[in-house]
Amino acid sequence: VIHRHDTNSWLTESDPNNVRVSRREAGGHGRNAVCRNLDYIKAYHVGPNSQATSNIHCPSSSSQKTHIISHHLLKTPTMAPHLEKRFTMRGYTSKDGTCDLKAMRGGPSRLIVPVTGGFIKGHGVDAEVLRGGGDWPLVRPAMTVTASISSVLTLSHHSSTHQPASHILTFGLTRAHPTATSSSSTTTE
Amino acid sequence: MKVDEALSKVLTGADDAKTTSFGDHYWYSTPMFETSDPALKWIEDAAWVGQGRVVVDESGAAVEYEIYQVVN
Repeated sequence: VIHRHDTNSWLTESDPNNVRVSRREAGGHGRNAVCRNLDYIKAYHVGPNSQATSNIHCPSSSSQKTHIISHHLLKTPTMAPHLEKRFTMRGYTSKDGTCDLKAMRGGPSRLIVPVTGGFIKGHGVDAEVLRGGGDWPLVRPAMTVTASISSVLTLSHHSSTHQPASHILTFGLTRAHPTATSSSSTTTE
Repeated sequence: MKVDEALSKVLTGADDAKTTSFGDHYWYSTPMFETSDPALKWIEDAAWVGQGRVVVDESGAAVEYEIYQVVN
C-alpha cells in the first residue's frame, strides 16, 4: 500500500508482507513516518520528473511496536546528475594568426588564436565550423588556461528531418563571445 | 585546462606535438550553444560539460571536445 499525500512529499510503503504502515506528516515537513511491526519501510520522494526510493530500517524492539522514523532518516536520497555524450566538436587553429597580448594588467597572459575550421557532430547534429571564430584563452602563471572559444557553425543537416543547410549554430565557452575578425584586427561583442 | 607537457607542445607549435586522448589532461569546459534551427532549440536550454584533448593531423592542430549533456 502506497500512501500518497501530494506529488512532492515522502510516501511510505510497507515491507513485502505489506502488513501495515501508518504515516504521518509532522511539523509540516512531510518526512516523518510511523511504522508498526515492520522491519523496514520503503520511502519514496516523488518530484516533477523523477522518483527516488530508499529503504528505511525501523529500529527493532520486541517491546516497542511503534517506531517513529525521524526526519533525518528520511532525508532525500542522493540524486546526483549524470552525463550523456551528445556531440564531438573539433576546431582547427591557426598559428599564423595567433597573437600574444602578454600579461593583461599584470595578470594572466591573453592569447588570440583564430579557429579556421572544424566540425560538430553527433545526436542529430552535423555542422561545419566557419572561419572567423577564435579562442581567446587566458594563460595564468601556474599554466592553467581558461579557454574562451566562440565559433559559428553551419548546420549541414540533422538526421531527424534531413533538411538542407539553412541554419546556424554557435559554440561558445564564455558569455563574452569574442569574435576575431582578422589576424590583425579583433573585436568583442 | 591545466597545461601539461603534451598540451604545451601543441600550444607552442612544437614539431613533435601529438594527438592526445580524452582523459589525458585535466581539461573541462562548460560550453553553450545558440542556434537558429527550431529543431535544435533544446540544446540552448540544456546544461553541458565538455572534456578536451588536442588533435594533430594533416589538417593541422585542433582542439576537440567530447560534449556531454547533464541529465537526471
